[in-house]
Amino acid sequence: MLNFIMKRLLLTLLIVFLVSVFAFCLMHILPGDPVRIALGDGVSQKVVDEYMVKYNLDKPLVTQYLLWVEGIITRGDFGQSILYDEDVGELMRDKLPVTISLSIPSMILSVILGVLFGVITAVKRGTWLDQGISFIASIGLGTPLFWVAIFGIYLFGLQLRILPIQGYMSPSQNFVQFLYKAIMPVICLSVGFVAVIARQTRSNMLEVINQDYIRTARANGLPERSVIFKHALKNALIPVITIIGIQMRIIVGGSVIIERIFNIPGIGSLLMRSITNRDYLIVQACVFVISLVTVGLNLLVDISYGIIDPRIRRSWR
Amino acid sequence: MEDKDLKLLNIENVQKDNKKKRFRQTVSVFFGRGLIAKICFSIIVVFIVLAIIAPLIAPYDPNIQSLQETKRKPSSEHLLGTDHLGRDVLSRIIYGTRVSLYASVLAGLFAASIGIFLGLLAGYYGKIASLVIMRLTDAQLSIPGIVFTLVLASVMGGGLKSIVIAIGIGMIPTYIRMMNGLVLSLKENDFVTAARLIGQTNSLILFKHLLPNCFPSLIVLFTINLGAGIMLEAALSFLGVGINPPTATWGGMVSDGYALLIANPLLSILPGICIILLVVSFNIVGDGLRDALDPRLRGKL
Repeated sequence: MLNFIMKRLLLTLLIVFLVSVFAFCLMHILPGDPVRIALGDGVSQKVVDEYMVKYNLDKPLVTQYLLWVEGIITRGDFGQSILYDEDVGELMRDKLPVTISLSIPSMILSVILGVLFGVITAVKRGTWLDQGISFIASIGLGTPLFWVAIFGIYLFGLQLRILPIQGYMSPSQNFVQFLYKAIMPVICLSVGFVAVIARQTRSNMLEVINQDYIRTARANGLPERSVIFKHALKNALIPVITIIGIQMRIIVGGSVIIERIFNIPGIGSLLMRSITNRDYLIVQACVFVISLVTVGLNLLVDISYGIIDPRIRRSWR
Repeated sequence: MEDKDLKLLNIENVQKDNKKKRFRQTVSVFFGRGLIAKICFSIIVVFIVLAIIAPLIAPYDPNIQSLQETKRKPSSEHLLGTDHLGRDVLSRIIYGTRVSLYASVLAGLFAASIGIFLGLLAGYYGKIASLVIMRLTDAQLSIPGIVFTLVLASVMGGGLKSIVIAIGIGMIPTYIRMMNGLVLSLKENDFVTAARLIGQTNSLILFKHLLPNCFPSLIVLFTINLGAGIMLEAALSFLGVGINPPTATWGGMVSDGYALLIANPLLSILPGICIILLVVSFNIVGDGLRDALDPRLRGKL
């Protein structure tokens, strides 16, 4: 068990390191001067030079990278924004909870609905119910998130007037208001993920349901409900869990679009704002933190399922 | 001598016949999947034709503004109405097809050419090559695709070229993973050992023996990625880092229409429906192709 967790952690550390290099390189691949880009052409060379020294931009790239990483690890310090003189680490600590408070509920919602739809379509294979849900799932897979959100706003916000069309309230401030405002963003975020999980669950359930031990369970007179949920689903879920871990990025990435449309002050909005302002240090930090969330959730899913199912552990040996 | 030539010719003919038979079989399996696969295939054909002959059938120039006729409802003059600058929505949707298909096909080709090569290397040579390539792939996959392409495209300055490259780079991992897996299982086959025994070079084995065996799966992946590319391009254009206005793009039209959601919801709903139609069609055709070309992959993609 410990062995499995250690190995998983080591791999995660390697990935985190590579991701930090990626995030750093993304913003440094182009020649051009980040200070000039941020401040515009109107400033004098002297001011630019001062900024270059202040932000370590005069040093070689490797040194810059090491300084950046050192700041994050030792002090949780992501540096200062060039444009607004804000502390980037502070910004991250402000915005991250907002994004997570939407991602986790939509993750839970997607898993519940996705598995449920997957089981229903597998058990009722070939009926109109199966065809209907499968058809909706394939449409869900091909529908852009921004369109789902806009359609939802039009239908529930503008026509039926039952849900707010934008805004956010922190759950610690007012939980009821949080639920009321978060319900549409969370549902929109979940649409694609539900479809992915439902399809995966369906195909795995179909494979498992034809196996001998299921026939044995039925022959022993177990009620159908217990056969499906207790015996079949448990085994069908292993590949599903893997997919959930890998595809977590759908939800985390989707929050960039959802936060923009619903005007939610999370990391996604910050990323969009910083891209428009060309505030490269914030963009770099956002990419890194967003990926950290993905990697972290992935690790959580893997380890918790490794604890439940010994086969997962064995595959890591 | 003549006899030998004749025999050779015959073998070639038999091979040709086999190929024809296999092609016919593939087509029949694909179209035998029912009405939906046929409909989706036709939808794709219609959109491709629309993209090609856009200038001939679009009733207006998509970029000509007429400020006296802004925000018109659908009428006989403008079948789908006009947008906030008085541009004809129908013409813009037709021209938007071009950008979507063009960007996504180019990005797919870009990703395929790099991804196939790296995947072959990782799968065939294993060890360090595989370690480096696969871990880098894992790292890239932990950055959400939309964030990765968004940042890359904006760093490269937006516009068609940077979008194609950004989406292309974002898709490379899918090809690497698939090629790596395929080559790992294929290289244990006898024909590879045989090729090595008669002294063929690694590059010959890679490109002449292993690569052709991966084509069926690659075609499936390419088709499904076309849909994914269209979605990404639309998302980037929606967020405003995509193709620069005034070029008509579906994502950009949804974004423009969002501001006029109360006045004329069609402006943002309709281009979205085009995206859904095309992407869902690519996905379903991809599923059909997979069943026809490579049944082993069922449920894996």
